[in-house]
Amino acid sequence: MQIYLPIAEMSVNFVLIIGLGAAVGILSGMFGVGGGFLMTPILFFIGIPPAVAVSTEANQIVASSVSGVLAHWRRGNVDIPMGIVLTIGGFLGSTTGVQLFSILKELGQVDLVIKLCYVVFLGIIGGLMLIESINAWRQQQKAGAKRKKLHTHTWIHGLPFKMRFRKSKLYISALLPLFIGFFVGVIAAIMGVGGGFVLVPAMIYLLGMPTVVVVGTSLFQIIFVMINVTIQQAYTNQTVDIVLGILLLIGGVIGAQLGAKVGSRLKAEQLRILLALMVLGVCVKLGLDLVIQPADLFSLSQGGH
Amino acid sequence: MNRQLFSLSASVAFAFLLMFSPAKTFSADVVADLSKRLVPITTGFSGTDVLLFGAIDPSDNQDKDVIVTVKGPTEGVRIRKKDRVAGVWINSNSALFKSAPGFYAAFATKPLEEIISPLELESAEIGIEQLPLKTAHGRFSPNLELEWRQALARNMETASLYRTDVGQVTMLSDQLFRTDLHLPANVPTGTYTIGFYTVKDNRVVGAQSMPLIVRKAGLGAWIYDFAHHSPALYGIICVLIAIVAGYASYIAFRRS
Repeated sequence: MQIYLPIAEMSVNFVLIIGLGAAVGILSGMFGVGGGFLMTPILFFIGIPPAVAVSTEANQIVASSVSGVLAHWRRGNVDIPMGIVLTIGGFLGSTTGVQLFSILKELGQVDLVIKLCYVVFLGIIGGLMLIESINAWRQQQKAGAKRKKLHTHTWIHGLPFKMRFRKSKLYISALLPLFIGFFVGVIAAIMGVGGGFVLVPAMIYLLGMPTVVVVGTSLFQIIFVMINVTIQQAYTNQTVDIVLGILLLIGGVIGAQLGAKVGSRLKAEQLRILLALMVLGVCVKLGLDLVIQPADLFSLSQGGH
Repeated sequence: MNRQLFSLSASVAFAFLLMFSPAKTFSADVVADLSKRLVPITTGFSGTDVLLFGAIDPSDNQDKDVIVTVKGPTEGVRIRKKDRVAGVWINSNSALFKSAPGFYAAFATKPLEEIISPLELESAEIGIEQLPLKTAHGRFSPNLELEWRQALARNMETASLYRTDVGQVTMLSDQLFRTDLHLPANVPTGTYTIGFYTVKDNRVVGAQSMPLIVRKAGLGAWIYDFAHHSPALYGIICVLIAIVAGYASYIAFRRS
């Protein structure tokens, strides 16, 4: 049952890893969320060095995004020009992120920054998700929800370098998706997540893209950004553990299949509340670990010379 | 007998050596070996036991005790200390112990204080207290230095890499002895030195040392070397595996 991870330099129970990968895969299949923001902290909890967890999860996200984007591609739900602009931003962002990661690793602060990022983002997502799903649940009780406006015009639409994005039915400055792509790229590199939870709302609310093309286009960007993160992490920090990666892949594939089947049969809104509570739970656990005084103030530096 | 003669002359030589130098060249009236000289860390590795065994020369009759030490490779160990900054515990200080071994354990037939004098422990460098553990910091006060040193020992012990208690060496007869060395899954790779000492009247009377090599082997070793020697190619291959896996699961998913 034990398998030695050559890069993480530790031995783990491979049934446990595949099981965890499957559990997170089920959740992502059910809710259509990328599993990175749950899988990476779970890897921390079982003792995988955060640097290895983040880089290896990036590789795993490449796989899940490839299988996800193909389905959207077939239905023509990928805005390629928009995807390319986001990807350019994402490339720059993730390259910056990996360098930042490397500097933080040198300073011995990488674990702290990763965990702080998680506390902040999981707190925000979990909170928003909870509020949204409770509201949606309530509105189901009352009939006739109000329809929201597609998007409003703000100063954002006055920026230069305007480009036409046919599928998104948008004529906006390329700077905006470029910047969003960059920001998501930095987060992706540091946190080992696809960044869909930032990218998707940004595309809907900031760019005003139609929901139909949002998921496919975000997956398109995530694939290329995560490929960049994986190669750069492997090159700069040597923290991609392919053995762990393959275990996660196996679990993820099994889980996503099950999740999609289960998800179609269950009531989404109540489950969404559960997912939100889970996200908040992980957030609180990570947060407490940072705030509560550790039993021993001293610790061994992992792989540090 | 030849062997007795050898032993006798060795004791004389030993006495001489002890008079003139505190060094650790002792006679070999202990003959020892390991159940394996090489510990391969393979894909299924989850720790292993190595049997350390040997025989002492009983010619100058009984009452000898045996001490066995296991010292891992010295590549330096870094310890970090957390402080509270704005409510959050962050690593604020660190110290590098350059000569700290990555693994240490000691075994003896009886508690050390009963069989050997502290001075002798020091000159033969037996026991965790005798390791030359010093921070490369240089600016620490003796108290602070001690605090860091204790933190090192404590953390290494928690990681199962140091044994601060002394394990048991079992005498099977008045000649044969054995002890089991457990190497946990997280053992550092490198060359270990196993020291066998025979002790009589508070003094080391015989010593032998032997290397034990721990290294990654098989697929795991290959992956590790590949990831460190051709990191770019390694990264590309990881990505290709992920793309193929993603495509394959899409195909499987579409069919069902």
